[in-house]
Amino acid sequence: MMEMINPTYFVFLSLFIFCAGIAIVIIKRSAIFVLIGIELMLNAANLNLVYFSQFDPGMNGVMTSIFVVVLAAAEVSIALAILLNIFKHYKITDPDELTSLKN
Amino acid sequence: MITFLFFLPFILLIVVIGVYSERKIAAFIQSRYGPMEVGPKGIIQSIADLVKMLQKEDIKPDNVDKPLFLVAPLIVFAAIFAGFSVLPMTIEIGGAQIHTGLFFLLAIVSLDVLGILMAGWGSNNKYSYYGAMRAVAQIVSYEIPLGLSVLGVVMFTQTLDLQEISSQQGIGSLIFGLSTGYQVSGFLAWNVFQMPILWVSFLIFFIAGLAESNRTPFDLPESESEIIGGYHTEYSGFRWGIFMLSEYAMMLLVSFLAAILFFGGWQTPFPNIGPLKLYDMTTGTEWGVFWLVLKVIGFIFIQIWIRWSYPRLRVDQLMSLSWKYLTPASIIILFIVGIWKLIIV
Amino acid sequence: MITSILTYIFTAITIAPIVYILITKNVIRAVFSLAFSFLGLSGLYVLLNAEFMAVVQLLIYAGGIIVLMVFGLMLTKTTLNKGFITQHRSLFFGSLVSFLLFISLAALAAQSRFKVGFIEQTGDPVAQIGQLFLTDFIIAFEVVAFLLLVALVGASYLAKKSGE
Repeated sequence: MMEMINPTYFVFLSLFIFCAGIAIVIIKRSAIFVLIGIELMLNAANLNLVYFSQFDPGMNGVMTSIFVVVLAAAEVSIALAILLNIFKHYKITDPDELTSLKN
Repeated sequence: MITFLFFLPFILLIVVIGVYSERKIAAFIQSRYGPMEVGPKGIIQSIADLVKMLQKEDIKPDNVDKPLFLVAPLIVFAAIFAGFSVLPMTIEIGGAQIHTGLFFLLAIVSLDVLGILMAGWGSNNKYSYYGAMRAVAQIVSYEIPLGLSVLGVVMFTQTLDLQEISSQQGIGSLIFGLSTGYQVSGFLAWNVFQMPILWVSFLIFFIAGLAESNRTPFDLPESESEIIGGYHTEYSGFRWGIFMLSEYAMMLLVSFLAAILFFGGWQTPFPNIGPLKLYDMTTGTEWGVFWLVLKVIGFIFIQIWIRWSYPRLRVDQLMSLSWKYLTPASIIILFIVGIWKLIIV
Repeated sequence: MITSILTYIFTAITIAPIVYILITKNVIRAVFSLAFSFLGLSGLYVLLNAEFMAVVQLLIYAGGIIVLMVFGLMLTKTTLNKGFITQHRSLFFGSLVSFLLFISLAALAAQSRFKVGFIEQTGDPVAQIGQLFLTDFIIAFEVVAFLLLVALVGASYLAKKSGE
């Protein structure tokens, strides 16, 4: 089905999403934006895995990306629970301002 | 194409008939007459309501978050309408026969929570906000028993493709779950009669489906609309109509799924009794559509009936019903179906 | 031909919300555009012959993680329409770093010759994935199931502890 599209196109696409994720993590000042960036990075990796899994009879890429999705879901839930706790304690959602290690 | 051409007018027709029949059935349950003025026995009542709703002014408040506010009803309706694309109508018209039909349907219907969140947030109104959070909590909690209860059917039929599931319910090799040498057809070949434990699955699925479409006894998002607002407070005219349309569409989708997964889809209930080939006589392209629509209308009637017979659940009762009763029950049923299929069959 | 056009359309649906997220300062709109981006990615997975992965992406990412993020957002800000604007920091250096990374990795990718050989996909992909889960990937399956249990118990304990 994908005979006409160069594989390099998909590698560029997943690279773009990955670097956009990194840019979002660096630029934005809110903790939720950092989570968005991390999700984008994971999705870029998934896209790469799924593209190259088309040519594999053992479907290793798709299986790995299913595990990546599950791990991302677990990670987001824990990250949000931690963020909620921080907000209840400090009333701040900007990770830059959390500078002390004391309770 | 079939989805667009057939299901979209079908949904609109069912909504018009459904609103009228809901008011009439409610009236008869409550020992009164219902709408009688407009047309003979009030038949044109819902068309009159439709015309009234369409000519209302479309109010867009100033302080709302415009993109979110305007897109929200479309997402809710689009998510639910996209689920209709994989439903099979009859032998030839099989919808989109993808390998992951049922899974795709459950996934895309779960996207309507995004629209509700957008509506609740975008309305810039505290009551819409709380109503939306409660509605989303309800819908997300009841998706779990919905998905787990159909897994029993999937384990039994070994496929996720809805057209396959419907065609397998034509000739069955089990009689009430026990394998004998005889082949049955007709209603004994339906999934609920082939594996009787699936009646409990069907019950769980039906309750979860009622909760998914915000029908009583789970209509907490709508009860707030009698008192305060819920997530469709700030919508007027046709945008509010889209929310109501998507609620009826979800009710229709749940009825379709219950008919296809548990009760034979487009298969006829008449069996082949010896030389009297009733099954062959009542199977065909048009017969398939007829039987399916009959079953769907039956389930819609049951949903309307339940609405006017049971009181509304409180929010903590609603949550505890889902997490403490329905989810463990559906997991246990899953185990029983698996073990039954492995050992007894 | 038609798959090429569809690929370009879904790429546009994926990239446009990401560009919006890079520019905007409104967190709630960023989360909803992320949902659209995931829808675009799901479409791309269907075109890449991985329909199970597309449905998993829809169910878990667009339907679950976005809802989690929106709930987390709404529980940490209480004023409507005023609390969701954030700031940017070091806009120049951040974008410079990611741009340089993109250029260097893209130059590397452009030089490589990928050998692609298309295989015929027959049979039910869902059945194949199910069998692979219980044969080749069984250890990963069990470990991930255990990890999900631990993560969910941990998350609900953390969230409960704050709400005493």
